[in-house]
Amino acid sequence: MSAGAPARLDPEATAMPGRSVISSRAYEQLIRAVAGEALGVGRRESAVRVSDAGGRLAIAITGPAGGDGQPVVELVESARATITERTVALTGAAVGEVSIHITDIRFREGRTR
Amino acid sequence: MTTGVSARAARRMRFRSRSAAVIVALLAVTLGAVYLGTEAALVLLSQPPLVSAPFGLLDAADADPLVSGGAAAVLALIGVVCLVCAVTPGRFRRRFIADERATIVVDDDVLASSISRSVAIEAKVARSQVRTSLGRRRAEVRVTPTTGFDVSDEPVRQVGEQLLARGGVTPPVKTRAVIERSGVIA
Repeated sequence: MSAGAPARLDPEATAMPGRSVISSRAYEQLIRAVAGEALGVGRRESAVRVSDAGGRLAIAITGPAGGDGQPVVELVESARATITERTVALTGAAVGEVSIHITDIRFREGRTR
Repeated sequence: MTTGVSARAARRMRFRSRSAAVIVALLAVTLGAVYLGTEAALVLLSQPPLVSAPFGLLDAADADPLVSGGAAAVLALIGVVCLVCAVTPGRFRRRFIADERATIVVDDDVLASSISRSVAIEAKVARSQVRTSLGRRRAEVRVTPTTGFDVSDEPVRQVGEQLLARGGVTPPVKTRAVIERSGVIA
């Protein structure tokens, strides 16, 4: 074996040595903020767990949703789409599934902006 | 390729020496011969046997089928062991690498881990997410992708193939890449 760098397919294709790693905690913190925004509650109100589902991210969110008149199912469905889209955009990781478990409804009555 | 001394040296490193088996076998034969010779001499001189006369032993074996059966089984086992020692090639899990000036023999484990390392760098996964098993003629590289990021099998296979081809290993190895369905989160 000749000395030097290990075998590479194309030395120019991978010009930058090393690799990037996103920890599950980082995913969870990031998705927590995204989910809070999408569900109309604070950024720290949801609990998020990420796991692997066939090589893709499986996201499980548990937390409250904001009750501002929109039907909850609709809100959650659009939140699922938003969370998927934003997570892919922010991390680059493929998202396989997003499950949302709503545990509470936060009303914003009486509060004006 | 190398010739003469170098090739012989490489062969010696790749195959187990039979000298240990030969030493054991010859020792056993020597002991048997010494015993038979001593007892035969004692019988001829009409002296009492040192351990027990060979003919006495045969009579005892004839009298009890358990003894004769046991003796037969032990002898058969010794025969089988000798046969296995003689016939099997006694290869070490090692490979010869072509070089102009030196004789290089590499353990398969070392080769497998160097494939794993190169594949991990290429696939941008942790070293622990790649497992390479090296058979005699086939290498299988199993990659567990990082969750959310796909790994394609063709580049993985090519990295393995290239590494082995550049080393010019003998016996040659075909590489197969397997990408695991499920991934791991770092």
